[in-house]
Amino acid sequence: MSYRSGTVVLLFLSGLLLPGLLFGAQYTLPELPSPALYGNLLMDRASSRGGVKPVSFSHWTHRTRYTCRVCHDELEFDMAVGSTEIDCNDVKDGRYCGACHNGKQAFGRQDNCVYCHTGDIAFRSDQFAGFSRELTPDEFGNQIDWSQMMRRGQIEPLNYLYAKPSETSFEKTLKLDAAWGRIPPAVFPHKEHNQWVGCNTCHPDLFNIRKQGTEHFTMARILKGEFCGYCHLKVAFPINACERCHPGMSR
Amino acid sequence: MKKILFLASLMILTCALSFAQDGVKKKRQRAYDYGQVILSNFSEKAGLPPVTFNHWTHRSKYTCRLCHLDLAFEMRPNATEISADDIQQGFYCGACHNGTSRHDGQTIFAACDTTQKPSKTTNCERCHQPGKDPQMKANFYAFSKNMPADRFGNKINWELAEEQGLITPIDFIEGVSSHSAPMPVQKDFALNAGVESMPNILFSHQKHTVWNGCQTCHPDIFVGVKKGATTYNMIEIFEQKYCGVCHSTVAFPLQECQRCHTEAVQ
Repeated sequence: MSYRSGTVVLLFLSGLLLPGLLFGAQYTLPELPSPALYGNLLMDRASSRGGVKPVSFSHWTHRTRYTCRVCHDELEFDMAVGSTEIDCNDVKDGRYCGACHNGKQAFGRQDNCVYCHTGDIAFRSDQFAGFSRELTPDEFGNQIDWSQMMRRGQIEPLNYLYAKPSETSFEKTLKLDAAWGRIPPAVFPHKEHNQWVGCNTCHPDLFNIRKQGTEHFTMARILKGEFCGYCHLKVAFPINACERCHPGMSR
Repeated sequence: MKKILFLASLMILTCALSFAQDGVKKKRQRAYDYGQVILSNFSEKAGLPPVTFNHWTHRSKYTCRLCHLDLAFEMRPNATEISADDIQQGFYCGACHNGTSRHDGQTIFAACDTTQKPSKTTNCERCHQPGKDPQMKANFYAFSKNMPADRFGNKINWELAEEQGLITPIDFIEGVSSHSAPMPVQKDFALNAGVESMPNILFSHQKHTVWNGCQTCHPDIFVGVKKGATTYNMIEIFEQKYCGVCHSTVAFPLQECQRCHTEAVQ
């Protein structure tokens, strides 16, 4: 078989381009739930099988008190719903939810099964309006500007339970050029992120230090829950807030 | 026809390549699983499940150096190619797991002991585990409860545990180990991170020699003749080379950036 090298190169390039054309040209922003439901989960890894209702969990009730790293680093909660193998004994022995939900720091497990095993993703959403009234408003997500509140000291979420994380002095703000000419560059502030998460939350799994440049983390892939989309679709402020990352953008 | 097939497969391959990058998260090992090694050189051929080895049970009692130097265990799983015969002859696991050696007043069970009928205490399943061992998980939690907490890996600060005397890892087995004359511990030193505003790395020889002596790292992993003789970067370390030989799978993991990158930015 012999091919002109030009044909091969052309096909190779079009192969690289095709996914971009397919997914890049037609992305639509996901529909957002109501502010009271944003970041809410229903965990049903084993509950239904065990004859109890799935566990409802609200990020908004937790993130005023704890940074992401407390649960996702120290308490070993995986980021994908239902992938953390939590059972009743774990909670009873002070692991996962049980680290706080022990009847001392927070309500315990005794006689309170239905407090978490509600089977209702909207559980406690009736309290949300009262809760958010005092807080700094935002446009999307929970409609609460969590980072702003952290900066102003309106919330002081705990950073750890058992082992203090080291201070992170890396505060560089990155400027990321957009693929489309008319879109202003995105900014990435390490400092803002360090308040909630550690370096390891993103490196090297989500953002491999090997890859220089930004071509590979396209909006299409972010929308699929990769890269920034890992947190910024469901829990952290949603990507609907375009100008928050692309500050030069106007709507 | 062949031509079309070839071109189509080239297209598919390049499409796949453009997707096969990072951006998704790997599931982290649980604290009780961290440092777990599965060994299956000969097990499956002999009709047994592979061997499950937990570093935590051993490093609470012995230094790294003892097994990886004196007992000649390689640093990569399955690279040592241990057979039951080796163990019966008193090599590798058999240096301690011989039914007569003792630790902390207890006799260490014999591994691969074919002279006895399989029973609760001598059966093969103790190492050749057919599945997850729930008892091991419970043992881990009972053990780690009394150890200084850490953020990643086993979530046990082994270094501090040793410092505080909560564990006293054995570094010498009579008849197996041979200690050469001790060398003065080399000084701690700083390594330039090479990234603007990234704190430099402080490397402590003192902390490493407690567990490893000199030979675990020199000259195989780091030539160590002269500073700068071995060049490496974070990408290689993430690929489990250099510091990553230990600090990806057994010693505290690379997720703890600031534990090495500690020097304040000037």
